[in-house]
Amino acid sequence: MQKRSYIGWAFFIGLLLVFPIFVKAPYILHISIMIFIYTTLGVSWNIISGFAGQLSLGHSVFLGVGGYTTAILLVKFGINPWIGMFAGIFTSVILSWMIGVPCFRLQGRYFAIATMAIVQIVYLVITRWEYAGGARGIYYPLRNWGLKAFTFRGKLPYYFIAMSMMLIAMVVIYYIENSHIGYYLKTIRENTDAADALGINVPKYKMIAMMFSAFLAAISGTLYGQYLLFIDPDTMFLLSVPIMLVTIIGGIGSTLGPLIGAGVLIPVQEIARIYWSGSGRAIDQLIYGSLIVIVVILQPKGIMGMIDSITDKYKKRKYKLIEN
Amino acid sequence: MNLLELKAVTKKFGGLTAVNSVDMSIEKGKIVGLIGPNGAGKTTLFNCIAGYYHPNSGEIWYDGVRIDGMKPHEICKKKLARTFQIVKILNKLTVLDNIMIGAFLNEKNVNLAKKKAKKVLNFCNLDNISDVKGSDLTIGDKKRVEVARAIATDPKLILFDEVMAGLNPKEGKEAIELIYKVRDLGITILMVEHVMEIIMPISDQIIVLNLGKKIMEGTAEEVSKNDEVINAYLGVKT
Repeated sequence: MQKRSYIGWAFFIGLLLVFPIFVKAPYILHISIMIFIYTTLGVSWNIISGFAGQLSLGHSVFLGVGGYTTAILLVKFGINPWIGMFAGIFTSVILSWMIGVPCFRLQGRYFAIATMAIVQIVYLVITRWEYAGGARGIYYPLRNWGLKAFTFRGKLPYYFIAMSMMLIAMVVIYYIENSHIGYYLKTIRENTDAADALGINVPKYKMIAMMFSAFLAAISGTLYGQYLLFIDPDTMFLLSVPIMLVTIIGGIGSTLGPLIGAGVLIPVQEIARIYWSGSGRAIDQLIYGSLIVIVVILQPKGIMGMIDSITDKYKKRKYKLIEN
Repeated sequence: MNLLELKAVTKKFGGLTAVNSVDMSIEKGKIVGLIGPNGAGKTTLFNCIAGYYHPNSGEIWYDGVRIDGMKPHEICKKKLARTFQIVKILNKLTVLDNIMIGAFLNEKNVNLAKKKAKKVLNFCNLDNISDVKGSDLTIGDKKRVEVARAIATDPKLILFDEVMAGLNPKEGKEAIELIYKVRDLGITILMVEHVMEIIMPISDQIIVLNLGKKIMEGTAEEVSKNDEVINAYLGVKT
């Protein structure tokens, strides 16, 4: 990273750390926590769908499998949620292998269809599986509190944990983008024949991207469950669209896209829910729909795309001058 | 020893035999031209060598190893590179990035790959456009970037699939100079070309394909005097 970026990030992290000192209102902390969680999820989706170009249309399944693993281990076996989080990562990554290994040898469309199907299948299975809570879901035990139990009464600890996860996500995406993996994924996204001709093992690198993605989604799922202290199939498996939206609005395939998108979309979503509580859901959908239409028509590359096209115009003029 | 050896390579698509029992031997360090009318099977043969198609029968040996049946990326790792007839450079990345991706094959560290890419960039006279995005390049520059990218993978042999197509005379001259420079690095070249004025003078050896079969092989002079080649390809003797 350039020195400028280090300073920028240090400033940003410092801001996030002192923010709760000045702002204590619970609903603002809640919105912040949701922004952090959705940024992490957005980065997770961005790695496989934005960078690698493999569209995941059922991404909520990786979040849900991670969350449900932790919840079931906690409620049925009394296993500490931090350990459960690692189990959740494991099951989510195994699931991504089950989809990826057959699909990544083929063209991207098969992976897209498979993810769409898998999330439906898992949703229906959990809904009918009483052991996992079925349609009613699982209530988390309120016996132990504190860091070791990953269960807190106030919002502040969740704020810092969610923020840490978001920072982990940003570290992951920066690592990918600035290593050969990032370049290889972009090649795979644009032209798989060229990737083959350059010695890139395409299925292997798609799988690498998918594992990073499943990891981030799983830890978000665990945190989300521990935060809500309740999960059910609707909470865990129906979030694919907001996850995609957060990244698309911010800028698919860009490093900061999910952060910007979450910063824009989540406050809108949460405020709509809080202030129009009765009709909140309907306004939610209205806003989602309008945003999709606006982004697709005006600027498919999202907010980061708008910034990039301004800098590109400058570079293009420079090339034309050289050519002449 | 021959670097590349084809023994009775045949490739069929259903009822159509695109490549018919072709034998070929390429010596290390040579520039070999592959010519023939459109539809003769040249690109199909290239695709068989590079692993995009698997031959129905026959053997392909490269550097002492049998490569027919291997995947394209495995063949590239064995130091056989190729360019494409329809250029496949990455439009959203810069010229330097494109070449870096080639360099990553042998150097996974980003900074070292960048250094290597800059050397290749310089070798191919692309320094002045190193930061230009692929989509903004002229066709001549695109072809040079694709060549540079192939060179960055450190190949022992490169398959050039019509690198001259679409170039104006000035670009054509520059391309010939680049091909000689590549040969001087010790890289063996097998190139498909239609522009006779270019391929005849620079090739050490010419192989002629027609309707999937090899009809002749020899020096440029021998080939241009051969009746069968003239009838099939070069035009009627006047």
